[in-house]
Amino acid sequence: MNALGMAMRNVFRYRRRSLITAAAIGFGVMFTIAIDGMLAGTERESARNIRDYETGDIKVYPPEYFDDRAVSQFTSFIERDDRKRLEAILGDRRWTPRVNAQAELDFGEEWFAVPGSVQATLTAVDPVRDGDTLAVARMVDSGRWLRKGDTGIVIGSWLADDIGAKPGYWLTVECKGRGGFYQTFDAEILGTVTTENPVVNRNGAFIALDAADELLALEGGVTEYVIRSRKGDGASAEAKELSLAAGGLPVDVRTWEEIAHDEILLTKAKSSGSKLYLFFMFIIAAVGISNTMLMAVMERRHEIGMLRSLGYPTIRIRGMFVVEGFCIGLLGAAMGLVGGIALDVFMIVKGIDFSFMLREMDVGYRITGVMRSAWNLPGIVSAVVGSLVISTFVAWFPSGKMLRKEVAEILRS
Amino acid sequence: MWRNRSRTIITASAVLFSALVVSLVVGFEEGFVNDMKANIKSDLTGDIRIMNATYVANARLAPLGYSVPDTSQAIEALRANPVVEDATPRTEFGVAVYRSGDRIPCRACGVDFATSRTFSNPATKLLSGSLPAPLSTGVVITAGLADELKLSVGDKFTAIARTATNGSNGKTFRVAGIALLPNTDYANRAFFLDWRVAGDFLRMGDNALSVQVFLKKGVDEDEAVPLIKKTLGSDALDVRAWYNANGVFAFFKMAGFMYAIIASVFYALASTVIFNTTMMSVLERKREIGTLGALGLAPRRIVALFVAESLEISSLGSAAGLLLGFAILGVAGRVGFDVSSMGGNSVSGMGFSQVIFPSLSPDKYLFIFLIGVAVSLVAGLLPARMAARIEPAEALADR
Amino acid sequence: MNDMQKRGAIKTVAALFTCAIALAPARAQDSAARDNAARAESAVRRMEENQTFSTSVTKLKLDVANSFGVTSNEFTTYSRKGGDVLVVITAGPDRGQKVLRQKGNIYLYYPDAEEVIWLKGSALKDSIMGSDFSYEDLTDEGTVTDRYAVAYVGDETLDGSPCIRVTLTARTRNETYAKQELWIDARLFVARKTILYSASGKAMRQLLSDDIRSVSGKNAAFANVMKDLLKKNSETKMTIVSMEVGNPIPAKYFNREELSW
Repeated sequence: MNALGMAMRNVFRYRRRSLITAAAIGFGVMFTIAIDGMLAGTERESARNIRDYETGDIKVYPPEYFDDRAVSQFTSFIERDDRKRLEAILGDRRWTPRVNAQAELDFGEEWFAVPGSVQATLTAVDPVRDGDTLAVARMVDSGRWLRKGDTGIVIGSWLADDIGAKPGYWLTVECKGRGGFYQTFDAEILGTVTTENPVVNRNGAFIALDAADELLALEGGVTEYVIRSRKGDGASAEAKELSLAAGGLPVDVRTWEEIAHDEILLTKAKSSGSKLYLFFMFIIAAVGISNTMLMAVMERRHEIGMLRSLGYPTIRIRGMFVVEGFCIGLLGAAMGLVGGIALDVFMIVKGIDFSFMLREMDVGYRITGVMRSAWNLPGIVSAVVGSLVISTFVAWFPSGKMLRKEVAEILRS
Repeated sequence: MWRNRSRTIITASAVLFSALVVSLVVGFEEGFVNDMKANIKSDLTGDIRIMNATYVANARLAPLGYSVPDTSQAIEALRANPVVEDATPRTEFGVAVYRSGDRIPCRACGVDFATSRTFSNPATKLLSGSLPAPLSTGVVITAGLADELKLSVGDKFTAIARTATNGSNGKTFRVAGIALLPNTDYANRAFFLDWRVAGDFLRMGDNALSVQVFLKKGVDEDEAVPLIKKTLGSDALDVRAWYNANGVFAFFKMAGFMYAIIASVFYALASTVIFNTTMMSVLERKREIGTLGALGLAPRRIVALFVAESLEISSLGSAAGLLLGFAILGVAGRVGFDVSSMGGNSVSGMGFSQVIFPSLSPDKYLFIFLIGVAVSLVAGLLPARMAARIEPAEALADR
Repeated sequence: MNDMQKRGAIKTVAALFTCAIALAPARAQDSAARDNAARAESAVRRMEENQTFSTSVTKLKLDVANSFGVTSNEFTTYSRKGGDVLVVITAGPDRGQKVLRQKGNIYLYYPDAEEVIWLKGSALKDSIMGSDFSYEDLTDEGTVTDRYAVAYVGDETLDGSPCIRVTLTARTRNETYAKQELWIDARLFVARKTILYSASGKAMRQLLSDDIRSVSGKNAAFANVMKDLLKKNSETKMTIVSMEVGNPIPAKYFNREELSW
């Protein structure tokens, strides 16, 4: 009868005990996977938000635009001919051209109870391409998004709330065109968007690029291209690649990290707390596993005494326990893995939506909050491996003390 | 109970560790929330914030012309009110710092250095220089701004701002001191000046845009608001509790909710650990149970016996764990937990400090204790009842 | 010539004569149109002459009204040929500030600042003292007829004064207003009413000018009201208190180094 065989027999003999022990391990693994997934999810979510609503993965700007992009308007463009060459280089990636400008939106008595005007950031987009590349188009919460040929406007929902606007109302947009001339145009509010970026919600206004080109005399020029990288996370490598490929063109290629520098720091700070949580989770899980395992072994001293009296060498007895520990650990880890993955799947696909309670409060800062998890394979693997290590390790110890006592002593107690 | 020492110790230690970790997690979270609260109150709103109602209604346009009228008198009246401990003025506005042809947007904050809680906060460190004399053009700049613009004490810089009369004004300020503020909102691109100098600069006279009111300990904000409204006796003022200002509340609720989720996960795991250990411990004693049954003890009494034992162990374990947690939090609570070292130096917008002081309120201690005991109880009850139902002979035979 | 031929000749002559009469108004129209076009251009030119001085020192009062109230400032402008303009605010909340426009740059002096601020780029679009005029408006170069095409619209009477109504259409996209409509006083050659249009033809701003006086042979409107037609309650009143033309102005006024006098 080899050690493994005896171990397995033991596992099944003390079914209840083994099950409970395995359950302890299982819970530990499950929760660790779940929390790790939640924390990974939060971090990834923040980065995802930046990339989905603002920056894409890579942006291409005209030269000398980047540093002054907050203040200057229409001082440099990517011109029509260069655009064609750039688009050829971009190939089958997801990309969309945009034009950014500052505008004033006037709302008059005809439609609004209280007339007035607000400053807004006007973004001219390619309605179809923008929907494929960024998520803004999918965040329409009333009315609809832009379509090709539209002359209307889509505004941020907080902006709409502030001025009392609804789809169907009309605004007058004041904006300076290319060259410096004042342009005004009446635009029907086609819809409103609520994104995860409060800046867009508060100040954003979107019109179709074709309309903007004509009204603002852009002559086919744009102020940026928003690009999604092919490889998801390989943005900086791809940016370098693009930079080289577009070397002959007067363009400036930037990654999302450069563009969203300050927001990224915020994300990093939040993740600092997560390391602490994982540590705590580890402690509880370890305690749970070791305690249950300890107890399981402790109660078997008569067995140990019996085996000793039968002449089994210490090593073999210990080995038997260790293998038993490992088997239970395996069982528990498997249970925990299934449970943890199930939780992860729920949290990744559905998540916990807590925007329901934010709707009741109207204090000006609303967040569309859905907490989602993310797959973190290293986390899952370490949870499983960790639990196996612990259970095996713990199974080694208690038997030691028992083994040192005299056989008679053991049998007596 | 003490017969099988090791078993008892193992069970008790499971409960102990669970209670300990949960208390640490909750304490840490509470520290974060309290920190946010404290920063918002001391640096932004006070317990109660007073502003001009027209300004609040048009906050989007930041109409500086609508400040708190007769600010000094209002502050005097407030200080005389029995529920008020202190009131201090605050004017925050945007400026452009002009530096060799570039205009750098910054935040400027006019405060009364003598009574501002931002500066009486022991965590605020004056790295060099000193607080400016009242009514001087000296300012305190943040460490981040000093780094970015390469300014040291004694240097000057010019700032331009839009004024209350919709014109503009420019002024040269002298760096009187450089400070490191705990609130990461003020890590970069911010400076502080005397509120009267700010008022003059912005052409709003001897007034401030807001007044922070700090209530005496134990006074409820909701009760205090109408009292304060009465003291000020003006319809033109907007008086509200701190949690109703600035969209802060939504942040809090969200943070609170997230913390509650994380805490419950820990509670759940801790509960399963306690459950497992207790159940295991009872199950191992089947022979004992059988013996007792054979001796004639009624099943109900057997169950009661085990439950009582389980209760004792869990109470002890919970209490010990919480005591340990208390001790650790006590130390961490005084020394503080440096969050910035874990990543994230110049973080803004969340109002977090660089250093968090964890804490745990008494009611939460009780809650953790009760949960620990309750779980052990249930965990002990189930197997005990199962075991009590077994025939003594069977129990004795089985191992 | 026989009878037939005579009748034919008369017919021809008559026909010719009828034609001549029929064509006469058209030709008169043509020439009238040409005359009007010339009048319009001449009116614009003479209006511009009224605005051109070797030097001028003007004291003005500016009242800016918006939904929150009215702010008043008084200032003195010193300008000389070549486009240099110095604005000194003499009364009101911004008293003591100076704005110097020189060679396309703008310099600001604030009494409480120890350095002179040099504005560049987008800062030029900021409004002066919250009014409807921006710093950029101080920087126009070139004559009106260079930058705009002038067209005659009609003769109208405005408040009892006969005016020539003209349309100015921008020649390039660099003009702030793509189209302007002016009612130029036919005798005094000062614009009594100006409407500024956006590129899409929407009337954005309206300037009403009155109280036209003669200063050293040049006519100027001493009372001006600029209204933002797209916003309610937005109006800027610019009143000339006194105006002196042709006197020498010390060079230091236009020297940015010496703004702190």
